[in-house]
Amino acid sequence: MPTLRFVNTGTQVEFTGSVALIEMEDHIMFGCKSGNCGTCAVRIVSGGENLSEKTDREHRLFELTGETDPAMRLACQCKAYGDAVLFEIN
Amino acid sequence: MEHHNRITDRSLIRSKPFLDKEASARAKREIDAFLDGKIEEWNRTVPYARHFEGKQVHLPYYRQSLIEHCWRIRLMRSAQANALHRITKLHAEAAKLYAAYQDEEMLHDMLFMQDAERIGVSRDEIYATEPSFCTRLLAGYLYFVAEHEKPLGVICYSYLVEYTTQKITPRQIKAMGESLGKDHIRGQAAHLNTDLVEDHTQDMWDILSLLVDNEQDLTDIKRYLSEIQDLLKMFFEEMYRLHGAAEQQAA
Ligand code: FES
Ligand SMILES: [Fe+2]
Repeated sequence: MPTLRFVNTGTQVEFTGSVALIEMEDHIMFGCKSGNCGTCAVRIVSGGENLSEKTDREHRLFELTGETDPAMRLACQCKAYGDAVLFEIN
Repeated sequence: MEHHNRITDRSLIRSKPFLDKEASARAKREIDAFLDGKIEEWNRTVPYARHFEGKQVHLPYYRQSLIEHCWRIRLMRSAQANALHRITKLHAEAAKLYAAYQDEEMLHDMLFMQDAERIGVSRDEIYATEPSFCTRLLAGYLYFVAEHEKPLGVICYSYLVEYTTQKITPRQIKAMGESLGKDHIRGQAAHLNTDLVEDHTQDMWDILSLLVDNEQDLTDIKRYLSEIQDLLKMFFEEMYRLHGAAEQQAA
């Protein structure tokens, strides 16, 4: 079964098929849940290729905040289809 | 007896807006100038109006303003959803825009709650604190306006909030980053992101503009903005009575 690992909390979650990261409330802090506030930012340590494409909202917010690290994602905006290791920012 | 359609819902008919693009921009400039005057009046007449822009933040004042902010957002989203329901029957496109705004704003109490936790105010404490009389009045006012007058009065609240956020909050967030520490205001900084990334001020104007049907509506927008500011002012005056006055005496 594919696994999501959370570096900061040292926890992991197994799932089948795919999972929306917005469901990971026990591991990631969320705010607006609509890709606007940046509270749910995570840095993908590995497995970025197993996540859905960056959304327009992610591009827009990172542009506003001047975030240039391509490994940064907004958890409320992405889905995972396989293993990934995430570093929770907040 | 002949059967007529009993539904007279106007929003089903796509009509040309009263304000065309140019007239709308002109009206916005006029309302914005009016609001600038109101902000200036606010700074002149509300004690502690620019407190958060100062070098030091009075903590009990900040604490209570955060708790109240959570409540204000919660009460307003309900009152606004009530207005949204009415707007669906007046102007479906305006309703669609307001629904999108609600989608973005609905959970913003979370962001203030997170900042409250950062200064040691627990969720339970927030839940146990009753919102002030003024905030409850403000919520009541928005229901009243939607029920008895014009739902656009409720959008006026959103416009006022967004307009003043755009004008004032960046300065506040910067100052508070220094007085309270950037880490402590992450939620509020995130909230500001949302308003700016989306240009909520323009979004709210677009809705108002669609809802304006005649000159009288434009006059009424100003009346609503004034009354809403008066209600908000009551809260800040009370806050000053509770915190600022005491502190000034101590100083
Ligand atoms: S929770 Fe606000 S951007 Fe994801
Ligand atoms: Fe906003």
